Amino acid sequence: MSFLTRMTAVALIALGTAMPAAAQDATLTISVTFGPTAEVPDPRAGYNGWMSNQTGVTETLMGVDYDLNLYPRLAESIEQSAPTTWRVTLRDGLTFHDGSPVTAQAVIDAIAPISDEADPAFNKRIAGVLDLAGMSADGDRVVVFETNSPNAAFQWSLSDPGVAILGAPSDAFPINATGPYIFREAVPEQSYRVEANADYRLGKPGFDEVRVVASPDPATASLAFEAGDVDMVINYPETDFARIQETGAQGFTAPTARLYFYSMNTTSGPLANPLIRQAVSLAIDRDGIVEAVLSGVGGVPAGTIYPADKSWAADIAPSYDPARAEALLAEAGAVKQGGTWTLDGEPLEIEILTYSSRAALPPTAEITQAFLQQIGITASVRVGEYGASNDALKAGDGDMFLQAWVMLPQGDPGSILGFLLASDGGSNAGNYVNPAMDALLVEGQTTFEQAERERIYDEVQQIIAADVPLIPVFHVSQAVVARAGLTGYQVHPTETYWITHETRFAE
Amino acid sequence: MIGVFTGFLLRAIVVLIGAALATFALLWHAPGDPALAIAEARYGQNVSKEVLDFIRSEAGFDDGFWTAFWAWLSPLMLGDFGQSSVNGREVWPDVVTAMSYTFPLALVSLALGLAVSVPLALIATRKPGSWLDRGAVALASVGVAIPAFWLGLLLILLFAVQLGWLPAMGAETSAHSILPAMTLGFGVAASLTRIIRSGILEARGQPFLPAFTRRGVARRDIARDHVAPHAVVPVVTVLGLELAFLLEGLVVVEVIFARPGLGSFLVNAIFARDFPKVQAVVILAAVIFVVVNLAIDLIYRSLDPRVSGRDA
Repeated sequence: MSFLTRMTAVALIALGTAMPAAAQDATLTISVTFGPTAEVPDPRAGYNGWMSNQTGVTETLMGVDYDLNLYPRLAESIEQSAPTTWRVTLRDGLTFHDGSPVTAQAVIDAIAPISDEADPAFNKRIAGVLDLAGMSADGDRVVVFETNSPNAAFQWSLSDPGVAILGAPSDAFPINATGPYIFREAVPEQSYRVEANADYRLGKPGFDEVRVVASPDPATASLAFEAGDVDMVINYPETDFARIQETGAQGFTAPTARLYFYSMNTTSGPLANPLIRQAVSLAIDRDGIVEAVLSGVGGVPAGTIYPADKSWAADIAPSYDPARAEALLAEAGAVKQGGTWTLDGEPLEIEILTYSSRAALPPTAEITQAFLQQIGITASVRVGEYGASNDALKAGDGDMFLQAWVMLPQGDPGSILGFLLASDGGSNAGNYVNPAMDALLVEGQTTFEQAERERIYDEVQQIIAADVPLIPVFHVSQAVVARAGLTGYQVHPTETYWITHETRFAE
Repeated sequence: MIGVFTGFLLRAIVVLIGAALATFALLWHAPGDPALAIAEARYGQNVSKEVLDFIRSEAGFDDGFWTAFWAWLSPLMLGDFGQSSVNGREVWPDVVTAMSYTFPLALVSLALGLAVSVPLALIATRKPGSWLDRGAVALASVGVAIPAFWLGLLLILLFAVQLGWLPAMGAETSAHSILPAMTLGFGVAASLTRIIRSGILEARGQPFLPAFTRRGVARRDIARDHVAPHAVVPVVTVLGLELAFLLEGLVVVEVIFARPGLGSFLVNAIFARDFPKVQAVVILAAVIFVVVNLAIDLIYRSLDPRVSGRDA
């Protein structure tokens, strides 16, 4: 064997040992677009709770199912004993990863730091959502929560991944939680590794180890999947979704509560007239947008703000009717001259604002522009930064603002609708003012009977459809691709759940 | 020499303060509410007005530009880069971690570029206009024209997907650095090949060289003592510039190969309007450029005594 051949062999062996291990059925490697923020990311701080919840490390008192219904998770039951008092009874026999029992006091010790500004687990957003006046233990299994004011969404807020129930940390269990997987290590911005919790109360998890690796570029993630470096890609590129399944990979897709929608300038410009807002809504072919921008798989046309057939969604189908749109423009006093609409002697011009941090936003705005021009409305698109576009619409410098929001972050509609549509809502960029809407939103926050709340939010959606302060365009469908044989997995509409103890590769 | 260093120090201070102030002003005055960007990066979703007010107060946005700038600058003068506005972590240890990924990759890429470009330029200039020379020029032109993001994906497709020799992404082992180094090194090699080739040809055209030949000085000695020092001056300049291009190229390469490092650190910080992080990277980059400029200046002086003479 020549020197050169020997050196080549040594180099190849060295390279081979440095390569990641080939995918095995006992391990699962998932590629996602973001990584952990710290070596031990406290699930209560920032949005660290997303990854710990998604990887099955942490659990919450309440959970949200695949139809967006609330269910008791670590809680056995929840009851409201007074307008501001909630009693949560814990399941019997719960233990943390280190084997210590999950008691009412342990739950209080886990949740209290969220509202403590001096604690590293402090989370201003969740503290505001919980709005706690106090907590107390009634025996070992009952936690009594007192809120500052009546809040019908309270029980939903207990499903926020950041309200994770944690025991005392130790070197062996730095995130001492209750889920089917045990946190082992994280490399900031790179990877997150968990191992099976063999003592999990619902059964042994399907994998010995799960690794999450961060790949901000979906194209790289798709190539890494083809190279066998990863077993599963969350947010797979839509344009390659059909082809990769032809190679034998499994594809999963389902609509989420992330909505692309237009906020309308309701106080100045042509869209101050509700008839023109309706016309604009009817002129947008949502199917065409989903096909062109998301290859038909990355979204579902939206008729209302919640995904169709899921909890809270009113029965409103998306509607595309350019003829009716033109009739409404005429009814609003616009005149069509030479194929172009004019209003009060001036061209009817609409400026669409958006931002570019989500790839689908600019093309969605451009296709909307084309649909408006198709019926004779002069439209333009301005792409800026999110905050700048928001401020511009608020100041009346623009007509429509395309945004993407998760409409049910905790599974309850109250808070987001208040931000967007209440007269004093912090994100009411279109300056929408409707006393009937304000009354309904307050009623929704203070009504505790579920059927009655559904009626209230149904009415809110009917007002949105009729008065058009917002135009829902599509709900994002999360596209996920996995190695063949993955079972016990489906796309969750809140995007905050990935694997359960039942997720595994089939024998 | 003392005068040179004093002048350098004064220029460095002006550059550092200027860079810090300009960056802070750009971030501060960029359209949109920085509190919104920080909130989205910190909480992953839209938040209430109360949360935005809290972030503004916490970050000192309520106190006006100069107060906020001074609040950042005064601890920096004691060596404290502050905490991230997004996750509250100390900035400097995270910058050091990012550097530990970026600098070795940048140096390996630079070395790779030199290792390819020097022999290629030497071979090409043996017979100017030959097919070898034309091939080297063509390769250099193609290398400069190919964007790093495209070359990176092509290399992943070939070496990770088709051949299965190398990992497609990550930074866990030395094997993970090979494709990113090839991506960056290719561009560096292309650019340096052109410069070195031109430098050698220009130096060979100097009118005094035939005199050495007529006196019987060996070709090798002429090349070492008279051609190389002339040819190396523009290369030194370009190496300094290449460092800048490398840092720029690293942003793309780090995203393509899903590697942590200064590039992705800076991009994420800018999108999140994380002032302390952005400022830390800008200060670091400014220091690097000042030091590189000084190094180039000193190398010039050793290569060309006329430069020192001008200072006298």
